[in-house]
Order: sequence, then C-alpha cells, then structure tokens
Amino acid sequence: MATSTPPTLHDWLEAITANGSGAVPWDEVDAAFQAHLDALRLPRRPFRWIADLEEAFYDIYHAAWGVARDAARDAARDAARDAAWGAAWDAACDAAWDAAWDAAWGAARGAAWDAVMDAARDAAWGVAWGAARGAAWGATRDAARDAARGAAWDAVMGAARDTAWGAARGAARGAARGAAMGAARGAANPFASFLVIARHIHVFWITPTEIIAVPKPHIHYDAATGRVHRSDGLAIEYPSGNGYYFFEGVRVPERVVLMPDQLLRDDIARERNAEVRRVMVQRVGIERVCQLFEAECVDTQEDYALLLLDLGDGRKRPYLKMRNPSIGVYHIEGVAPNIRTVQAALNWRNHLTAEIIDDDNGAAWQQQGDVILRPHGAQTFRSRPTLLT
Amino acid sequence: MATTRKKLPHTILAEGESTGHKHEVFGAGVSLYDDGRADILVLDVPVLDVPANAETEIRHQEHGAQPIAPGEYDRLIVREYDHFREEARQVVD
Repeated sequence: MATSTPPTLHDWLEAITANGSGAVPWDEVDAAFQAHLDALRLPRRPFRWIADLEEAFYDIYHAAWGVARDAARDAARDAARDAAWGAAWDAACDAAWDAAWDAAWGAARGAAWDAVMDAARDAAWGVAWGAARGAAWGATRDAARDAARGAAWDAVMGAARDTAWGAARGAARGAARGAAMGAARGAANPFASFLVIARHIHVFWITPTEIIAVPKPHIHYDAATGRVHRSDGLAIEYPSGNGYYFFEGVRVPERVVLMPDQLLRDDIARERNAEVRRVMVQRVGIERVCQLFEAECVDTQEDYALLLLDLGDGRKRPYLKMRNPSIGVYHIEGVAPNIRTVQAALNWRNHLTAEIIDDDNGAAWQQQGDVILRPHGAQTFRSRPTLLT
Repeated sequence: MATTRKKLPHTILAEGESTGHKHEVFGAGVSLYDDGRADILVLDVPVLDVPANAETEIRHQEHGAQPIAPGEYDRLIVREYDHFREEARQVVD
C-alpha cells in the first residue's frame, strides 16, 4: 500500500499491537509484500498464507531444508570450480615460464652461435672464443633485461588498470548511491507498505520461491494482570480454529482449562513442569488434590505442610505443599523418599545438608522463586533464606 | 578446586519454559560466569565496579524484586523428587 503521508511511530505501534480479528484482507497483504520486494529491487514471488503457526512451522521446515541443501550444493560447486581454476592457472604459469625460458635460451644460443661464426671467420681461434663469450654474455644480458622490462611493464600496466578500474567502480558506485538517495528523498517511503503486514501478519518467511505468512491470532489477556489467559477456551486463537491454552500466563494442556474436573491423580503427579502442575492444583483445588491422593499430613510449618501422597501403586511418598508467596497459590513438589518433616524437606529442596547448616554463624542467602543465591565460597549457611519472594 | 570461569553474554539466572518468564539480574558492572560445574553458575558482582549508590537487583515477572549486595554468589535451582522416575531434578517451570 503506497501512502502519500509516511506512517508515524504511532501508526506502527497501533499496527504491531493490533489483535488478530480473523478477517485478513489477503489481497492487500499480498500487494504489500510485492511492493516491499519492489522497493528492495527483489523479484516478486507467489504469496501463500497458512492459517496457524504450527502448520506453517512444518511447511517452513521443509522449505528451509531445501534452501540448506541448495546452499550446500552451490558451495561444493564453487569449491570445485575454484580448485579447477587454481590448477589451470598454475599450469598456465608453468607453461608460460617454460616457453619464455626456451625462447630466451634459444635466442641467446642462436646469437652466440652467430657471433662465434662471425668471429671465427674473422679472427684466430683464441680471439674468436673471447669474442663469442663476450657476445653470448651480452645477448643473454639483453634478453634478460628485455624480459624483465616486459614483466615490469606488465606489472605497471596491471596496477594502473586495477587502479583505474577501482576508481571507475568507486565513482560509479558513488554516483549510483547519490542518485538512489536523491530518488528516495523525492519519493514516498517505499517501506510504508509494510504497515499492512505489521497490522495483519503474525509471522512470515520469504523463501526463494514464495512468501509464507501466518495471520495474527486473537490473544486473550487477563484484564487485571495483563497475562495471556482464558478460563473457557483457547487463549491464543488462530483463524483455523487451532491455538494454545494459557492459564494466567502458563501454557497448559486443553484439559486443564476446559475439563479440570477430569484431571486424574496421575495427570498431576506425573506432570514434570512445576508451573503446569501448580495450575493443575489451582484448577482442581488443593483440597480435592489431597482427596485424590488420600493425603496424610505428617508435619506443618508456617505455610508449609509435608504430605504423604498415595501414588496408587502401593507407595506413599512425601510431597511438600507450599504457598507461593508472590501469587498466593498452593502447589506441591516431591521430596526425597525418606523425608518426614517440613524443615528436612526444605533443606533437601534448597541443597542444604545438616553438615553445612549453621543458624548462628552461617552465611545469609536469598531465594526468588526457584532460584537460590548463596555467597560464593561460604562453607556454612542459615537454614532459611533471609529474603524470599 | 580451581575452575575456569567463562563469562556469559547475559545475566539471566533462570528462564521459565511454560511462561517465558525469567529471573534476571540488573545493575551496573554485573557479570554472570559459568564456572564449569554442571548446575552452578557464579554471579560475580565486583565490589569495585558497583558504585555505592547503584541498585543491583534480581527481577522476575511474578516474584518481587530483590536487592543484591556486592559480592560473588553461587546460583542454584531448587530441586524436587520425581517418585515415578525415582530421581531428583531441578525444578522446571
């Protein structure tokens, strides 16, 4: 889209932050991509849109493989060509040198022979020999001087030619750049067409053969926290109907959002991601989780409780139930099988053993969520962090 | 034990997989090093490089920010036990 008034920063921000509406003017987007290619003086290419990111990902993966394969093939071809060129050049140099040597030697020998003949005819043998030697030397010297002069001349010519070429090329490039800048200043911003793409397109790839674009999804946010969130459907929705479920900023499986009542004991216990497990517990409710696992509380301390949970296979194993101090929700994490107190569970969780705990003289340390910072080199530590958020 | 430190091109202490959130340190002169141990990074806050009135803190999108005093710190990630795999592992969020 060519605009007579260049887009402002506000226009760009509005376009970039626009949520997907599902109604994309594909012809307009296609035209914007082609205009952008025109502005870059790149060849136009077909435009294709794919309705969601996941599908596009597989397409682009195959396209990328093709590009990588072609690049590898081109590199191999170039290497072979360079090697062949090098070999040819070396052979040519050798041949030229041999020819020059043969010519020089032949000329010198011929000149010497002529001189010898002339001298022999006109003088005695000793005189003739001296003259021949002198002539041979002179001819050889002259031939060498001529060859050197020729080589020097070629070098001078080559240097001059290269200099002239460089100067001409620089001048041409400068002139072209000046002309282009002048043309650009006189025209509307050729990249303004990209505003349409920014408004409607989530991601795109320009491949050697086509343009692939994915429309912006509609993203649902929690009004209070601004986190990606939806409690009754897809939080990120593509026009295809596909998308992703998020609960309070955490990407979770569909069942966690739509059917939390159907979450089973195993779903929670086997979930490896602590944040997803926390959302599961939040959706199911900590009380029901305790029921599901037939929890037996064996120790409590402040907001912590150590629970023995029945895993359904005859084993009862310890889990630490804790409250996230920043967001105020409960979650559970497994601790080593032999642990039976909250403090032992916290020590184990925080990499503390009885040997390095010293609540009187140990180093203070701090904890933010799952991250612990301990003074480097300290030998003993307090049993609890001095800062916990 | 002598270790070779390798300065990292960032000051991110941990990054969430499901949230994209991260624990990151902000402050003048703060550097993060990998000292070669598998699960321990060293946060090096050189005393001389941190002006007395500079604020160095660790921030996260959900957890409250914490100030960090000048000094060197080991970074650890809390661990949990997977009773199905019978193994301890770093907590991943």
